[in-house]
Amino acid sequence: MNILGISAFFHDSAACLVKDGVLVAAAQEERFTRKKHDEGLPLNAMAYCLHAGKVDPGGIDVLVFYDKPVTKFTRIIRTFAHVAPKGFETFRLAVPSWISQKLWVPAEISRGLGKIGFSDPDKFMYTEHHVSHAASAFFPSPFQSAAVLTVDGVGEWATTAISAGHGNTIKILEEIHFPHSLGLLYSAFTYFCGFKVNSGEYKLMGLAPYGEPKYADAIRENLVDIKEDGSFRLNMDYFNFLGGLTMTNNNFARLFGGPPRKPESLITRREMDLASSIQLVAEEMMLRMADRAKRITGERNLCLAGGVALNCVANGKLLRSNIFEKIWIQPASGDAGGALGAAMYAAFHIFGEKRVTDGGKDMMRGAYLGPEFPADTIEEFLKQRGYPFRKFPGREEWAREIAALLADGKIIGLHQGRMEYGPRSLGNRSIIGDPRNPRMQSVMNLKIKYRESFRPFAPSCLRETASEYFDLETESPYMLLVAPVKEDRRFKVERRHTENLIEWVNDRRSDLPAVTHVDYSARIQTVDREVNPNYHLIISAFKALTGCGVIVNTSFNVRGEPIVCTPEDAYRCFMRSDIDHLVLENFILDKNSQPKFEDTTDWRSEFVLD
Amino acid sequence: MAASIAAIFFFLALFKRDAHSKLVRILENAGTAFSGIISDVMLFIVFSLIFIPARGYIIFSGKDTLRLKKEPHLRSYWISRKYDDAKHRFANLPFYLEDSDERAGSSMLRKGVIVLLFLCFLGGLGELVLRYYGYGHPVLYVSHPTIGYFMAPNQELTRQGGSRISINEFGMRSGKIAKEKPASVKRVMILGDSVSFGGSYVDQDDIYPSLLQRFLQRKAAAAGKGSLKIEVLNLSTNGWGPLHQLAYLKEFGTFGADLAIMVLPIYNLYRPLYHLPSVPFFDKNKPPHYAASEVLGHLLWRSRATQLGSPYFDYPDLMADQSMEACLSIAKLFESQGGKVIMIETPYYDEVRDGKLFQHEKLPFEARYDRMSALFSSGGREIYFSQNYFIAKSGRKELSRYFHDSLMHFSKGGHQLFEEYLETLPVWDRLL
Repeated sequence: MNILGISAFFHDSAACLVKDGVLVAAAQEERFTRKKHDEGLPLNAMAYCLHAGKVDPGGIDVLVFYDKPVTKFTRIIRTFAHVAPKGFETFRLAVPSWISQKLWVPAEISRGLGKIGFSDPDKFMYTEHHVSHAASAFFPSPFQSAAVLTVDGVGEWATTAISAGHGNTIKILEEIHFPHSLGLLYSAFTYFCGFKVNSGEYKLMGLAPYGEPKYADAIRENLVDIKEDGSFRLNMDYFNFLGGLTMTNNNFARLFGGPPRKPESLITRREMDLASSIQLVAEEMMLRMADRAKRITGERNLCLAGGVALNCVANGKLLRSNIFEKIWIQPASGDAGGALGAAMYAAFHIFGEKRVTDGGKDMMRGAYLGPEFPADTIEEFLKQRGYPFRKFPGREEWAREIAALLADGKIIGLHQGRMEYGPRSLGNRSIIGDPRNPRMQSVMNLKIKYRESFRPFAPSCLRETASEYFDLETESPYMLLVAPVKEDRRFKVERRHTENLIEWVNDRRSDLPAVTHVDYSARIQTVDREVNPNYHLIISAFKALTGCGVIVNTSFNVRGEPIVCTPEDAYRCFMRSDIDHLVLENFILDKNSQPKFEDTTDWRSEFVLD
Repeated sequence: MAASIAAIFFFLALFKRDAHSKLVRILENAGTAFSGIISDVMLFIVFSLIFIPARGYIIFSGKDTLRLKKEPHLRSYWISRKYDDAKHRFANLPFYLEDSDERAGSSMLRKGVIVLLFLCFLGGLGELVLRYYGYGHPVLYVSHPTIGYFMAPNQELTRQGGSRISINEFGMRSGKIAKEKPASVKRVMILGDSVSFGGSYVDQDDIYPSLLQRFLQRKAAAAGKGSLKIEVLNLSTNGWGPLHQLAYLKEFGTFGADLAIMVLPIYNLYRPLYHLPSVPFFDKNKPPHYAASEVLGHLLWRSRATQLGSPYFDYPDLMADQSMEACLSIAKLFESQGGKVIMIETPYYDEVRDGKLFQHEKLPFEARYDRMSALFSSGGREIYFSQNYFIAKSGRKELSRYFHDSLMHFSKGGHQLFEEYLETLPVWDRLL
């Protein structure tokens, strides 16, 4: 049975194909259209998944949309009724697209399928938003039975849900409803600190260790009433998102001593302290909610999804709290993952496909579910364009060359195998570097990624030697857990009180300075030989050469650009930035020997800053 | 609101795929139509009329469905979910029934009444808005066995943007006339379709037949024939082709016209003798009582027409040959009664934009232009092509000044330009 899951029309559109209960392919539309967080119908992603699954033009059995649009529209209408006469601006912007497109999902999708040469599915279905998230967390997990916690901005009504998964079924037990939302609370601070909602939350999390949680009490006392059992309600006197175009209002600004920070302006101590404070409160809430999930399900395992599950700092604390024995987090926890959850929910829960788990490996295939480009295609591309390259027939030699370049301080764009599904690059569409270089973080941020200097980079390490570098007892294949750098690798650095983040960044905090955040934490990716043998080979070669089994891994893109998909995307990004070498499968390109790159567009204006 | 939408989709689900796809298409068309006409002002009116009263109701009733009120006494804010397998049975529906609806605290009956009242309110509001935009009193037609249909006599209407439409006692968009032409009158008859009818969006005084009448009256006065009365009869009806026109003339006569101008986009040669059920127009005996029913009638017709396709595509040459024969018959009819006939081709939007004759995807226009031209002019009759005038005058830019749509229908500016073109023809001196 071919089941196509789709998430679309809000942000991070994606498609996913599940064939006879097996996850075959999944991809986000932004990677194809090159429009970050593309919300349109994911025609390219749909076409890719269907072709990857060798589905006949009339072979889609079931198409599942990841939420219930009419219920979502009802929530929006009911919200307007609560805030009128305020809210007209939002109404004006939102309602036309609802009337003309979002309410007619089957017609839109049917038209889209026609464009890519496929017939309508035999069945069209919808799952609830949080059911999609919960299904994306539980069904691919290695657990036969688990509690599931899904936390995001909002779906139809639910913003938070606790579910129980058993075998091939899942059910929601308890919910928190809109407008009370941890995701929206975190986004409100993201907005207030001058970052973009729906993408800047990651920056806020990265900024948090620079600050002190001075405002945590103010948040608890004024903004959110948190119960012992993790349930909560927001005090809407401080928020503007019900009827306005901003997340916060004047009361919020008064509480935190002034107006919101303007985007791209100087980050002050206030923003650092606000980030630290909301991060602390969010972690407390997550821990309490997890405790509640444990109590009402009695499970030993926890699965996480929803946008808030991308908060890897909170995830790390949750892991170390030992509330649950094991935790598994969906790597595409945001709305893109809804496509996967919707397809899996239909496959397992509705159509009863058999779900086999062994408690060890998950079903995500390392999240390498996107398109790949064979070596002969790449060679043809390079020759056709006249781009000089070196070809390495054997991967051992190839890995040794890459390791040598890394050890020489070079920054490498790595494009190999299937593209990752979800927001993290996991070694197939990555920029990699030497973590021992103390200037690597600021160089990569400012010269390669063109992004804020304070943002930390993640380490990729061999699964088998991760514990030599980090206090992490479990694997973290999707870079969704934060753990401290080993005590014996740290260097003592006095805590700074300056607002100059470059000074902070350049402090050498461990023998892996490029991946050690100011609080000695690191967002770790453990690389499994079986799941990504080539990437494992590179890190192994680097370890053999330098004695260091860790490399820096960041997504292969510049700020505001979607992660690269094709070899052409990779080459373009390589030439536009200060990346020294580009690896396309078993070909290595040196920037110095490339012909002058004629950029046809002003790429700095091509991508909207995130 | 949710329940009403739920009910509609419940029906969709019951009727499965066929009914589902039809209704979705109708709703989709409605959605497209709605999105086309909405504007900020309309949105503001809708917002104000729906949500401000709703807000008042919420305040008055003390309801807190979003749980905005502070409730520190509660031990937990978790909302338990009554697990209901209906959610899986109804996985094919784009909504779910909220099992936590106990918070609303009202019975299904009460909810039903509220939904009903709300729907009535919405319906009334929609009706008002549509009437404001001129819907609700369309041009009505009379069904006829040989003509197919024609405009019901004696209609005085005000439509979109206050545009006036006057239909005289003979179903022409013209002022009242005597059946027998008085001696002091020169008559010009325009035989056309929707292009010459002028649509509901161009005022009676601004359609080119009215402009032409004023021009000819001035020209007559300038030639010292001030006592001569000029009447331009606009026998142009939406959806008509030459077969309709010929049948009408056979039924009602030529009204003694001194000059007949056959104005047609070439496409009209492919038009069969449509009867009223085949076109989106309203029978005099079955007028729409509400603006909404007019709009819905159009939408339903459009949906049906989309599914049926266009029958004349199957026999284009047969249709065109019949229409050309009809054109010749019309000409001979006028000529037999002492009148003259000329033919004028009106431009398509694409022709003016591209600067060349339009080629239809399925219909052989270019060959047809040539044949029509050869056939019609063989009797010494004159045939004119206005396309080049439009191309030259418009500069192929700002075509929205001249066209109401991207087909061939003139806007007010287009009627003016076409009348200017008519003034350049060498026929008026002979007429006067």
